[in-house]
Amino acid sequence: MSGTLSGESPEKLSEGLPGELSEELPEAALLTAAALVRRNAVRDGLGDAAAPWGLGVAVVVADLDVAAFLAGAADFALAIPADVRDGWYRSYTRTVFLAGTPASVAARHPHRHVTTDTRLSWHGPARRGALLPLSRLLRAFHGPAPIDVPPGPLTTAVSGTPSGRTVDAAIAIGGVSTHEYLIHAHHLIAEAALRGLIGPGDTIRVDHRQTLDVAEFRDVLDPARADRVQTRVTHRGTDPGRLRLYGLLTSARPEGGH
Amino acid sequence: MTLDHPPLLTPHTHKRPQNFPEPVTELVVAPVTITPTKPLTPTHIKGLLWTDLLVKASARVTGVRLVWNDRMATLTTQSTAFWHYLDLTEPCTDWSGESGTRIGERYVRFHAERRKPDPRALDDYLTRADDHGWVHPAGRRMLDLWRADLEVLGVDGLGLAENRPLAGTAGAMIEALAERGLLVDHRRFGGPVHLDGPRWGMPLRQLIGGDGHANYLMPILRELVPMVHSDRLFLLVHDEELTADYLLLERVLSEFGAKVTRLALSRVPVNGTVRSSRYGGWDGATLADLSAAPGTAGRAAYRLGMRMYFAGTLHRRSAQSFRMPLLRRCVGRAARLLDRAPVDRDETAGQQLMRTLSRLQAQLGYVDPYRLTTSSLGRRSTPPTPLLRALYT
Repeated sequence: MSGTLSGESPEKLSEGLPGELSEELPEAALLTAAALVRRNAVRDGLGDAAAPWGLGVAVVVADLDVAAFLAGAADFALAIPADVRDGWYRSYTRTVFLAGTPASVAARHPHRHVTTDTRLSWHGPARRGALLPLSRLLRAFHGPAPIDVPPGPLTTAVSGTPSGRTVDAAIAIGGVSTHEYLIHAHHLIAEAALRGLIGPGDTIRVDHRQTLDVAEFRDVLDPARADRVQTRVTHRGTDPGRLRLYGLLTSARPEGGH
Repeated sequence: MTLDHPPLLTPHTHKRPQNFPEPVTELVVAPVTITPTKPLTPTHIKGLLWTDLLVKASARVTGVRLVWNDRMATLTTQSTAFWHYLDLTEPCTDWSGESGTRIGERYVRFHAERRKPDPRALDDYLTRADDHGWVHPAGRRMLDLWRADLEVLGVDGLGLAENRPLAGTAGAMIEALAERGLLVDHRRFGGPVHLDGPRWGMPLRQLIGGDGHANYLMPILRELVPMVHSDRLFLLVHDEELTADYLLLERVLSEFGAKVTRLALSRVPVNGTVRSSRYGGWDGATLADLSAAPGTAGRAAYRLGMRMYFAGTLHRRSAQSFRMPLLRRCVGRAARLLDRAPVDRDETAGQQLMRTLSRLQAQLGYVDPYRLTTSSLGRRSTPPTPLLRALYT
């Protein structure tokens, strides 16, 4: 398969969630705790019903408008039918980014969602084999240049009747390539939407920062608040031994609530 | 005159209605490029002889223009990466007296070592090749050797010394492709530029790498697109292995309004194996070997026999391995045919040949060398007419 799978191996995370309160945890332990909270949430799934497992998604990228991408990720996740939503969630929202033009592949490979600028489309969730023909037709997205985001805070609207709610997200961009940004931001937004932290008509307000200082988000990272928080914590590309906070999203909606 | 479509439906397209096609008056033959980095193998000889015969024979019945420009081959990382390797490993070698086989051996070694050059080290090579027609001394030597062997073979009209600026710049080409929405351009992400094959159900095809270097498709487009004209038919002659790329080129050229046809030629296996010349295995079967092979045949018999073999026994899709004994038989038969005086007092044979050329040209838009050879130099053929001699020797 030509694409790069962005699903990670959570089992690599060091085992054991310390029992103390988060105020007493060093920053590294806070990140480990956040990663474990996410892993456990994914293992538990979204519901009790048995879900098909091993599902992936392909995103076709012709060009990148960051606001359209973030809203598109939420729109897509919210449009996924119930019978495959849990399966993709339990597969750690595995996603492959492919270089291509949505309009050129749509006839043979219908998308589930396409942005209004038609430069991004989402396919799946589906078993790997079902997405293989699309992956073979296209090439893995290659974007080693640093992510370029518009200056200042960014707001983008999720499709639907305006809900009046705002979801706050912070995403790290320092030393983050375009490709890595797609991976991190997509996991963050898609998982939050699948969990119900983002709903139709919400506004997503994104603060792009060079680094997300763990100390600053100590409260939000408290495992006790996990039902209203989505994190994106994973190993640094250049330093596999250390975890980094790549994204954080807080919602007024509790998990599962709409 | 009435149009097929109401005028309101046609302004988006510049194509003329199908019932009023402009007549094709010129055949533009564009053979796949060969990088001057190795000796010419039977696969190359087949391609060159097919092209030579096709051009000469078609020119008797229609306008023909051959597109050969060394720069299409020298302006590739395939050539420049090898030359960079030679400069690193043998900075002091005098290439002017080196043999083609010995240069080819270095080419094989270069590929075997799989050294990936620093892309930035090639920038200067590519710029010089593009702007000034620079060719590495080893490449110039290779071209000289090819030229000498091809002259013996009577393949003199290809213009192998042609090294002129490409008809269009890379920047203009990218712009023109982008205007037509044919690109997936990820340069601003540090990524590559692709041709949007999926719009035709074909795979996405890289045109420029993430390192900024274009592949061999770019010089072809830069040379051919500016030549597109309604009275021209483009014939792309290429290795069968490159069919996917050439199907895509055909579509892209068509997008620019070109009429295009293709001639895919199978490779000629040597000792039963088909492989790219970068892996070698051509010992004893290079053009230099063949033209130096001992024999009693004269030059005309050699030229005719080589054409009878490569264009008359090997058809376009032939999988037959190169057969030296069969080639020798062809040259022997050619010598006997040429020894017989042509019986063409009433010129009927000449007229018949012209009719054959017209018929073949009408079939495909060009004269197919295999069909011409088998029909005019088959088993019971009469001695070659002066016209046939002119085409084959």
